[in-house]
Amino acid sequence: MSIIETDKKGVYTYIPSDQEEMYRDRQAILGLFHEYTAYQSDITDDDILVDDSSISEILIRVDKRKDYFKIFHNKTDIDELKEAALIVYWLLKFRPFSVSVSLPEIAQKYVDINERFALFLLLGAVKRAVDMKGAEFSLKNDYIDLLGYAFRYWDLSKEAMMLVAETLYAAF
Amino acid sequence: MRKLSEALNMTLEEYKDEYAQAGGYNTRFNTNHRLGGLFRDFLADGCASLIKEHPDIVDHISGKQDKEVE
Repeated sequence: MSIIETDKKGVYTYIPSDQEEMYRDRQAILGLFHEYTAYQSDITDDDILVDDSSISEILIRVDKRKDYFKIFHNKTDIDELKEAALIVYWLLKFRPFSVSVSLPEIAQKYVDINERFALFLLLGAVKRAVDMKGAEFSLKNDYIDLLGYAFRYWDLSKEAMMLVAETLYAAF
Repeated sequence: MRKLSEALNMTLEEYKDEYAQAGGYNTRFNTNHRLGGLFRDFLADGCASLIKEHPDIVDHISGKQDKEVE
């Protein structure tokens, strides 16, 4: 846990993860984004811009929420699906990735790349959890479209995002 | 449930007794359970298996099935 009492008056302060841990998490997110965009034939890594400070913000905010769970939910660890859902939530808030290309048609195509990547991460996490319980994962395109629409235009809270992940998991 | 008038008149001792009888903080709906391993691996394995076993889903997410931009 990274919240410590900094004085004897009951004042607690959040201490972010050390830089090495932050770096490993950052690399993991960027690596997954790279895998996701490798699917695209009309852009390369050089066309993609990453806001590093937003990536750090995302990691710190997820880390803080993990502490929140430990403090307010009897020292329990947040489960992986909730953690993935939190990353997705903050990805949608901070939108750290953008595509910078000269062709407006291509720029327009990738205007929602953060939302699509978030969807990829969420479904990847659900897939992993479903695999672990030995069930068969599948989804209809209609549902993927609905979720993608919700990511773009709806106001989904952190709790709603966690519920989406766990409900999907429970459905298999 | 109790009437507001009763609730307003509840003493601190009554409140403490009732709280203790209820078992304190309610964690009945706490379903957190860590599946195990490093979260980074969990997410990476999940995304990799999604790509490997369900390329159609990844295609759909990425919009690859949409009309290609020339």
